[in-house]
Amino acid sequence: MRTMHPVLKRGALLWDRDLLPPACYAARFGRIQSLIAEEGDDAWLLFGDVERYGHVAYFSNFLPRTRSALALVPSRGDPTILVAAGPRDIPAAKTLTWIEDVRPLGNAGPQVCALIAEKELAKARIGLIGIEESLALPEWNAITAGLPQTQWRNRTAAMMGLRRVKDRFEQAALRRSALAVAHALDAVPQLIRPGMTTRQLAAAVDRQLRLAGAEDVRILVAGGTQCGRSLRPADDILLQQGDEVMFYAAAEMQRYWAEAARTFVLGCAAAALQALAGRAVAALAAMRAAVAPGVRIADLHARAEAELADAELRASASAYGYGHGIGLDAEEPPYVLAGSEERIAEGATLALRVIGHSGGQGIALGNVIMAGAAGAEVLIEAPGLIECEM
Amino acid sequence: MNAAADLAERLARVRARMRARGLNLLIIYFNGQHTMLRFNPLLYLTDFKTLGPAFLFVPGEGEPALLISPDWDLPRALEMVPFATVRSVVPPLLARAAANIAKALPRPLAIAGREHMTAGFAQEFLLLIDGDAGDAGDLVDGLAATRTEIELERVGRAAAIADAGFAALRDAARVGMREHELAAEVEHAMQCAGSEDNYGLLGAGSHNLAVRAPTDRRIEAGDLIIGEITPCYRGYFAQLCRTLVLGTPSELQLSKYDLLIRAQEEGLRAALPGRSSRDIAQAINAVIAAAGYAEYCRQPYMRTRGHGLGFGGVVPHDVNEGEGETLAPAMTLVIHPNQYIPETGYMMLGDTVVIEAQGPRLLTATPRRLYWKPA
Repeated sequence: MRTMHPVLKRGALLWDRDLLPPACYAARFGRIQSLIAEEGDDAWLLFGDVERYGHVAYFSNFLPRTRSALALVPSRGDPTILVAAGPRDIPAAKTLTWIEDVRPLGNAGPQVCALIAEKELAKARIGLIGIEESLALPEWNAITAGLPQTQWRNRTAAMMGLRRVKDRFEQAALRRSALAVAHALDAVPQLIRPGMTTRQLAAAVDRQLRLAGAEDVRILVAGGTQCGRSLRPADDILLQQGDEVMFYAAAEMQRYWAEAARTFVLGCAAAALQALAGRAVAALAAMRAAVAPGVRIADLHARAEAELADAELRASASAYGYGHGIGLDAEEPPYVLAGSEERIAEGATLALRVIGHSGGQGIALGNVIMAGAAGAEVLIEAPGLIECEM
Repeated sequence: MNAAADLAERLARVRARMRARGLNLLIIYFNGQHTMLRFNPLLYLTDFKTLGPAFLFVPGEGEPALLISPDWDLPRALEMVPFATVRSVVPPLLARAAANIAKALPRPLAIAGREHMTAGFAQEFLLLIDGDAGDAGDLVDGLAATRTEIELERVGRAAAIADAGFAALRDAARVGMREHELAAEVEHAMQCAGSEDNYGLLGAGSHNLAVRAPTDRRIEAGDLIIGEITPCYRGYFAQLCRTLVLGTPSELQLSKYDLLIRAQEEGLRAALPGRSSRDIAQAINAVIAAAGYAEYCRQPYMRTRGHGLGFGGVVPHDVNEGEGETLAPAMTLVIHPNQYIPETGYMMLGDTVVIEAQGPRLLTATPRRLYWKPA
């Protein structure tokens, strides 16, 4: 889900080689090179920025803390990665990747042109991954102007095909991220109290996640009357006895994201809120029950909407979205949309949610589910309305 | 002046520039990726920090209009933005919706923020608005070179939060703690004090080479903990750089840190209105070079002696000996003679200042000295 973009990923930055050993990246790199050959390309140029770094991190493990990274992967031979950092930051950047050839990236246009020429690929056929979607226009124009004989092909969809199915190392990383998010949200009933601001509550959850090793943390919250309107970054609204609090948290650990949403009440919930929560619980359960390899993603959407008889709730839940894939990017295909022809792949991981508003109240419920051959594995539970004793 | 009047004054400044260029419409695009070192004109002219990509339409006459995404963020925008026209749209429809709004507004028009558009988005949007839009990137450049009273209050608030962040660092630091755990405590203290973002770097070691992101390394007795703390309050940043020794500092560490203090004092003395920001770098480097470290006054041993700060990386930009910009009253910048010294490793000292007629005024209040606490 869209959250406030920070100026820097300022949490723990390291490569946990026990969780994600170099061998798993060698296998992924091999899969990419095979795909390059299958597509008839000579190389792929991959772009990732701090918001969507998944294409580059998938095979390199490199994470840009700010700005971006570009990688050139030839169909044979070793890759090169350009990272938006100064020369003095390259030693630290190299601790995050197995790639030997790591260079500082300043001006992407001329540097990419020079790199492609150096690798004798100026007249080659090069696949583009994440370029149209994320690279800024002036930089792309400079690259195409500098390489007039290169044939460019958009291969983002092919790359996403690889990334959609999570290997066992990715699944382990996702489980760990999910566990951290679940623990942080489990602590909320002990943290929340009348008189505190949503900023203080968010800060306490943020702290839990960063202590657990999160690289990045995103939180959206609504307290009291805000629950009737929208989730938002934490602010100075004071929570009072009887208030409800909608809380969404996402954390990135070792590049892998997990997210969850829960709704808390400072005391006992009113009947209307309980009814609203009941509809959301039913909708989320309906989606969860449908998750299995081969199922049309549109079916999840239809099942959720079928449970949301309340038109106001349904409209707002649809605006927030019922979910999407999650992994190296906080939002990945497939998106839970009406009419989508996509099917759930075995090994796919989905963030599913029902967040909405009705009658001046709101509900936020969300979890992460992995689609395995043996059925759906729930990585984070989404309990219904949580009444906190004050 | 209240916040609404201050915002109106900022808009008036933009309109004066539009008139000078014969423009009847300025379209400002922002992609939602906030950075500390890049001016965000949309935030500057709305006081609203967008979650996603957004457009601001500033006509020569009449109220501006704001178009944001994602659509579910509209209630927050309506609560915070004083304009009558605030709309929202799902991200895939943003280009089309923006083009439709632009078509109904007067021309000639120009666009600022083209450099934030992705290749795909730009191709779609620029086609839809008929392609006769000029570039107005330079029109908004330099708009925020100096701070208004309200803006100064916000930078001052950010500076106070930075002080709280370093106090938390001093309080929490202990042997055996992981670097990222210490960073989490700093972050928590600043968020509780009102920080909405932070360009925060924190590392520890007996001989640091540069400041970096925190890792899972456990802090050891005798480590120098270096921190660059840059909280954000209502879009405005302030920065504080300090060094803490976990244990008793050596005479060598104390004397080399005194060198940084003296260098900063000389830099502050040079930070006068009408002088070039280059003079600050020259003053700092002169002190460090005189101590025998001239060769360390360049990359990779240091990056810059400071930079514009407050609202993105505004004037005077990086403070280096090569190029400079004329300092003016109400400019805010950080002056940091952060330096690698071969005998001690990298140490940090930096403060946010506002340029005033008589000289710079420190906005960060943490005393300038080498800190230490028992291991």
